[in-house]
Amino acid sequence: MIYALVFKYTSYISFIIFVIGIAYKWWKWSSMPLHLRWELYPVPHEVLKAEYGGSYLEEVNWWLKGRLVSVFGELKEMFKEMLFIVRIYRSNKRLWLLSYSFHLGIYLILIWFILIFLGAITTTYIGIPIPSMNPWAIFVYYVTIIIGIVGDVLAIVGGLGLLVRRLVSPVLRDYTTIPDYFNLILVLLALMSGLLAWFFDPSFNLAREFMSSLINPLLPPPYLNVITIVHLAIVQIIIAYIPFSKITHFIGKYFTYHKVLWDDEPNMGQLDGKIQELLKLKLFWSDPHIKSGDTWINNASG
Amino acid sequence: MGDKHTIIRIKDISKLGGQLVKLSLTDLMPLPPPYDKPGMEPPMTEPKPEWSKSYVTELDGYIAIDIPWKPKNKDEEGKLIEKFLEGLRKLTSKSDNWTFLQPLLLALEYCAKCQNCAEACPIYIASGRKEIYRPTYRSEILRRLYNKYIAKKPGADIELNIYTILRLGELAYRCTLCRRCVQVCPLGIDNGLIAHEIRKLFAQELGIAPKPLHERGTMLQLKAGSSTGMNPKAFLNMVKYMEDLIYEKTGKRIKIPVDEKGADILLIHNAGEYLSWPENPAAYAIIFEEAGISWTLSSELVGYDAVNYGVWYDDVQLARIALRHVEVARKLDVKKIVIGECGHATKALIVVADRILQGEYRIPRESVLPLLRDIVLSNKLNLDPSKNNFPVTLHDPCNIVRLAGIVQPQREILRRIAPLFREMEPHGVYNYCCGGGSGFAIMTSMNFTEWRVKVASRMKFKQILEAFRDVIDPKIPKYVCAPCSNCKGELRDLLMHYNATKFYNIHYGGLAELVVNAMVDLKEPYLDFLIKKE
Ligand code: SF4
Ligand code: SF4
Repeated sequence: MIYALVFKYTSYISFIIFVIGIAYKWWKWSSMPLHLRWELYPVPHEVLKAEYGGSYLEEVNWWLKGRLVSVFGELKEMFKEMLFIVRIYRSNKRLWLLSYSFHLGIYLILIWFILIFLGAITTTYIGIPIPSMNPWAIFVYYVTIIIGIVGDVLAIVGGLGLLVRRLVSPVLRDYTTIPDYFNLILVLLALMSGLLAWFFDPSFNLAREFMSSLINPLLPPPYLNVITIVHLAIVQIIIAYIPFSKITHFIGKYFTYHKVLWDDEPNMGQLDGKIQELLKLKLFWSDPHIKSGDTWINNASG
Repeated sequence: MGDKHTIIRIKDISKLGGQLVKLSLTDLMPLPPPYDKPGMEPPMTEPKPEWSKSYVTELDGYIAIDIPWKPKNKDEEGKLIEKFLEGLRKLTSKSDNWTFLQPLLLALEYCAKCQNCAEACPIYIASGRKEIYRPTYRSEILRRLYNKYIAKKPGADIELNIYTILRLGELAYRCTLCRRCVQVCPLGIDNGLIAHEIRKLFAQELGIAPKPLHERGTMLQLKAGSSTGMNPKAFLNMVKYMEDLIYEKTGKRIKIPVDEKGADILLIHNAGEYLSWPENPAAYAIIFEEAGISWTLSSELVGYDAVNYGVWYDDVQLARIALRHVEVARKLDVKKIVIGECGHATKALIVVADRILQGEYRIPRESVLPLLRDIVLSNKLNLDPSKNNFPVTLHDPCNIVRLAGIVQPQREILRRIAPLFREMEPHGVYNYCCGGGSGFAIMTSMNFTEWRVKVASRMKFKQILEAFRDVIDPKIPKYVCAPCSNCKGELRDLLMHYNATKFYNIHYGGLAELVVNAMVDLKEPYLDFLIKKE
C-alpha cells in the first residue's frame, strides 16, 4: 500500500518534469537566432508548385506577386511523415517495416494512455463503472485492451528489430553510441515489463484504477503487484528522462522541417529589425581576413 | 553495407599516419555502355610522394586543400589542435555563428544514425560505397568532437589528434553540398550543412581553405573585382569582344549597355562566362536587345562578377560580396538585380544572403531563368525549334533547383525550342549534382580533378549516357544543357576526361545559346559544334 502511494506521487513528479523539460526544449530551439536561409525543395507549402518542388522564385518580379503559403500543404506532408514515415518507406522498405512497427506501436500506446485516462474519468467522475453494460463502457473496455496489446507488441517487435539491426551490422554498430543503446533499451524495458504486467492485469482494470487515483488526489491508489511496480518505475523514469534525450527527436524534426528546410520566408522588411540586431553582434573568428572583435555589419561592409 | 571490404570505422579518422582509403577503378560504380568495356576509362594515378610533406594525403590520397597546411613539428601540431577546438567552440556560439547556429545544432543533436541518407549520395554510391564518403561519416566525427569537447556529453567515443584534424579538413571537401541526402532523411538532418560548417571552421578560424576558393577566389574578387582576376578594364575589352562576336556570328550590330544608370535590370554573370563561354552572355545581349528589355551590365569592381564563393566556405566573405553586389546596383539605380546562368551565385545572392540584406540593401533580386522563359513564351523572338533538331538533355544545377525551387522555367523553354529534349533520370529537385558543386569545378590543383571526374561526377556521367542511350551514335550531335557556369566547368572536365565529345559527339553549354541558335534570322548556327567544318 505504501509503495502504491509512493508511486502515485512519483507519477506526478515525473509528469511535471516531463512537461517542464519539453517546454524548455521547445523554448531552447524556438529562441535560437534567425539563421540565413537554407531551404530545401520540395517545400510543401508552395501553392500549386509543391508537387514538383517549385518555389515563388520561378516568377519574374516575385516580390510584387504576393506570396501564398498553404498551411494545409505543410500539415499534409507533416502527417504523411508522422503517420507513415514516408521518407524511409520510399528508400528502405526493410528498415521502414521495423521503424514503422516501432513508431506505430508507440502511437497506439499513447492512444491507450488516453483511453485509460478517459476510462478513469468515466468511472471516477461520471460514475459509470468499467466494465459494465453501458455502451460507452463496453467500447472503452474493449478498445483499450485491443489498442494496448497491439501497440505494445508492435513496438516490442519493431524495437527489438531495430536493436538487432544495429547489433548485427558492423557499420550501424560503429555509429551507435552508448546513449543510443541506452535510449532504445530503456524503451524496450518499459514495453516488455508492460507486457508482463498485462499478464496480471489482462483487461487493464488495475491500470484504470491507478489512473483514477491520479486524477482524483483524494482517491487512494490500488494495491500494486511487484511486476506492475517495476513497470511503473521504468515508465516514470522514461517520462522524466525523455526531455533530456534524443527521444525528443519529434521536437527536432519539427524545427528541422518547419524552421530550416521549409523556411523560405523572404525578407520584405518584416525581418529587418531582427537582422539589424544580429548584425550588431561581435564575431571573434581569428583568421586575419576577419576583423576579430568587430561586428558583423562592420565586417561585411569592409 | 560494404561488409565485404574491411570497414573503415569512425575511430580510424584518428589513425596515426597512413592513407585511410585507396580507390581503384574496379571498386567504383560501373559506367553504362559504351563505357562498360575495360580500357574506356583512363586509369587512376598515385599521389606524388613529395606531396605528403605539405599536403594531406592521409585521407584518400587526393588533395583538395592546396595550401601547405601540415604542421611541421609537435609544437605546431599542438597549436593546430588547440585552435581547432577554439574554432569548434565559436562554430557553436551565437555571436560567431548565428548565421547557421540553429540548423547546425539541430543536425548535431538529432541524427538517428539510420543511414537512410547514404543511398541518396552520389559520391558514396559512385565510389563503390566507400565508408569515408558516407554522408554521416564526417557528420558523426564532428558530432562526437562537439559532444566530447564542447557540450561535454557522455558517450562520445572519439580521439582528437592531429590526424583527426588533417583528415577532417580534407573530408569537408568530399561533399558537394548538393543536399540530396537531406531529402530522404526522416529527421531532416543536413549532412551537407555539416560539411559546410566544417569548412567554415577551418577557413574562419585557421585560414585553411583551397586557394581557388579563398586566396584566388573571394579575396581576389574583393580586391581585383573578379575571382578570374579580370579588372574593370579587361571587362570592358571583353564587352567589345562580345559585340564583335555577335556581329560575326549573327550579322547584328549590338551595343551592349554598360553602367547605364536607371536601367530596369542590372544583369550580373559569372565572370568565368566571359573567359570560357562568351557565347552565353553574348546570347543574353542578343535576346534582351530583341525583346526590348531595359538592362545594363556593370563595370565596377565585383559588379561584373556574380560569383560568391563565400557561400561554400566562409560566411563573412559571403556577406562582404553580397553587400558589394547590392551597392553596385544601388549606385546604378536599377530596379532589380538579375543573376545570369550561375547556380551558386543565384542561391548566394537571392536566397542565402536574403537575411543579411536589410533596410536600403533590400533590393529585389531574381534568377534570369524566369525572365528568359517569359521572353521565349511571349513570342517576342522569332524562333524556329527545328534549328535545334538534335537530342538535348537538361542538367539541373542543385543550387537553382533543389536549393532555390526554380524547376519549370528552364523546362518550359526547352519544350518550346528543343524538339528532341529528353529528361535525365532522376531530374528536377531529385537530380544528381554535376560533381562540381561547392567549388569543386574550379578546384584543379594536384590530383583533385581526377577525383572529381571519376568519383564526384560519375553519377552525372552515367545519367548523361543513359539519357542519350538511343542516340549514342557519334554521327548524332548531342547537347547537355546546363544553365550554370560551374556545372559547365565540371561538364567540360568530365567530357574531356572520358573523351565523350570526341568519341560520341556529346557537347555541353548553357540555355541562352540554345535559344539564340533557334532564332530564325540567323544564317549560321550559333552553336559552334553545328557548324560544318570544311
Ligand atoms: S542523417 Fe538522417 S538519414 Fe542519415 S543517418 Fe542521420 S537520421 Fe538517418
Ligand atoms: S550533400 Fe550531397 S555530396 Fe554531400 S553527403 Fe549529402 S548527398 Fe553526399
